[in-house]
Amino acid sequence: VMAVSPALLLMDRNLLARKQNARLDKQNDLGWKLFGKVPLGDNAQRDSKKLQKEYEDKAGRPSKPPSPKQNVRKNLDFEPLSTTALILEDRPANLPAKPAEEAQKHRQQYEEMVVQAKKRELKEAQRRKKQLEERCRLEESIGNAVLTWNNEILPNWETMWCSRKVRDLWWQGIPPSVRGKVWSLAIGNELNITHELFDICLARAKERWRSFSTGGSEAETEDAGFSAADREASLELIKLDISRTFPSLCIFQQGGPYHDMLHSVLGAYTCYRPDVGYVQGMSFIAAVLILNLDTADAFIAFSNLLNKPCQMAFFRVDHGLMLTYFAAFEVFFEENLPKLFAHFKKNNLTPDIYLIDWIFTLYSKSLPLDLACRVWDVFCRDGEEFLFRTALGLLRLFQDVLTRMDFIHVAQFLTRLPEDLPAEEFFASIASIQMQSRNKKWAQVLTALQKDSREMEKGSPSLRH
Amino acid sequence: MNPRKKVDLKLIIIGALGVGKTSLLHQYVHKTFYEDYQTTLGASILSKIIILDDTTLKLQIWDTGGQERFRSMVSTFYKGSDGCVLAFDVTDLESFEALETWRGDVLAKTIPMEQSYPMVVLGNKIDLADRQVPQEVAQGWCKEKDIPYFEVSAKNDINVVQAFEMLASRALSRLSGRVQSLLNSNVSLYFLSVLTRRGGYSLGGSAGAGS
Repeated sequence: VMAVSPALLLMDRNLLARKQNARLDKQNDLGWKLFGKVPLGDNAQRDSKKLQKEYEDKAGRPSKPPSPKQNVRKNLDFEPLSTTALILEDRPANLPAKPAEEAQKHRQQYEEMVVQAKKRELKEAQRRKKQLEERCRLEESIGNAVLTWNNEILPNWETMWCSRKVRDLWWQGIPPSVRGKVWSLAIGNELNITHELFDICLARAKERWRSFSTGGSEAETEDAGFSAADREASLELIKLDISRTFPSLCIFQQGGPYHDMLHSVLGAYTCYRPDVGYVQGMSFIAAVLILNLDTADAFIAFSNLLNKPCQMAFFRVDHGLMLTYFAAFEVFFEENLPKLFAHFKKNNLTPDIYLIDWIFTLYSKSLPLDLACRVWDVFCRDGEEFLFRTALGLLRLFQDVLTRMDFIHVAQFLTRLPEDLPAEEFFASIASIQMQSRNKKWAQVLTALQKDSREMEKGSPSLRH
Repeated sequence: MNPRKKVDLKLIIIGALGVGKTSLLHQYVHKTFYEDYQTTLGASILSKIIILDDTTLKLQIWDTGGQERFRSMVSTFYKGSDGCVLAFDVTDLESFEALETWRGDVLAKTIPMEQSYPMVVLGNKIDLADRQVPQEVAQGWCKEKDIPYFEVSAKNDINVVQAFEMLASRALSRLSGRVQSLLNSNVSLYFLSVLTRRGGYSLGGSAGAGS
């Protein structure tokens, strides 16, 4: 059974409701079942009541008047579960009777057990009540946040987005129903991509799929520099990768409700940026965008997002620049977590082992989806440095266990993060990471390192390779 | 009696994308096969302990992303490896043709030694019908390069263990040969300790360099 947090549940309900309205009747109800919950608790309780009744009937004591204790129990608004197994039986008649003293002792023990069990259950009921209240509070605060975002912030985006109040609200997580809008606005559209341009790119992509599937690729080999084989490989790759994108959600795979959208965004991108083409990891980014935006808007956000310096460095696999990013990361790593940093150095745990996956997919593959979306929220607010701050937040959160692990266990731990990552602790941990090293900010550290590596290249070209 | 020797080996598995590197590895390490692995980016490392002859081998196997464009990026992970699985998909001719480049990449990153760098070639997905690479062709290429060849299926668990054990055994004998030749040539104990620390090689107490 997949554990789904309320936030994700909410996100997907909103999302599915919205998408379904738009594309009515096509994918009847698909997806609802995925996130639906069976109210297990109720059943279990009813069953146990029934069982107890049956047991009491069989035990042949229906004539006994209900004891005052049972009356009390009926008045409670929960039914003790564990006491159902605790029924004091009279000794079978074929055995010699217990001495009165012993019988008394056993009755007393029995009563103590019942009292204990009830205490436990009362506690459990209180816990559940608290959880429910927590959930209501959360839903209420999300409701309030939606109003604030819709009525106050979004209409005045330009003037408000960098205000203290909005930044604080932003950090709490953007409500799923406005998330797509906020992401779009924050990512911007420096490339001035229109819906028409998306349609043109998509039409070209579709033309290519058709021509490759019919085998008639001869006709259009005029695209300079990119051979038909390259393009075909890229298309094949997209197909393969889509099948390997969030496979457990079963919505992007062939036949799933979002398969075509994902295919369209990625295909259109290879036509829009043939110089970049399709690179593994892109399918995860496009998928997360599609979960929050309509196809054309997802494409616009996708293209602009990939056009940011950090993403360009990684998706063009500019190895030198990637190493510079890792080096900058290590500066802040050492500054924030010196003990763990030393441990990593000693064990040859280089950042590429864990950062490549995290940065390429913007954490969407390694974190639970609802947490990944919250990381994206702040990434849209703060830019690339937040990706590295998140990494340090993760390392800080687990630093005690990590310091006790050897190379292989750390590597395995970081490439397969725990699925039940505690959201609030995680964000508190990120918040306590200082992105300041000797009065230098992330961008300054990065620029300085870039300059260093360029000078080294110039100074001794033989050092490269 | 004779305490068992313990050796750490670093192995890597490389090859074009989609040939089933992750599946092969999971079949070998966990004895499981899933249809739906997620794309591997960067590196993912699995470990397995096996006993070969009289030695306990702690294998550390590095799985890497296979897109052509990632070749330079993942090649930093080859450093210090003791052996390599070259994987291709028998239903995908291009993945077979790419072996040459992958092999070149690995050899460029490893230190030449008296004994050659251990490799095995795995032709995966023999359970599928639309085969594009005939067995003789793959066999021929491997023979030419003096690399053992295995026809395997991660899905049906055919030949997977044999292939990995062959590689482990070759990597072990290369490492032992290296330690032995250092001992014979009376190299200072310092170098030996450097080597043993790196490879995690232990001579079962005789050289006092346990890991």
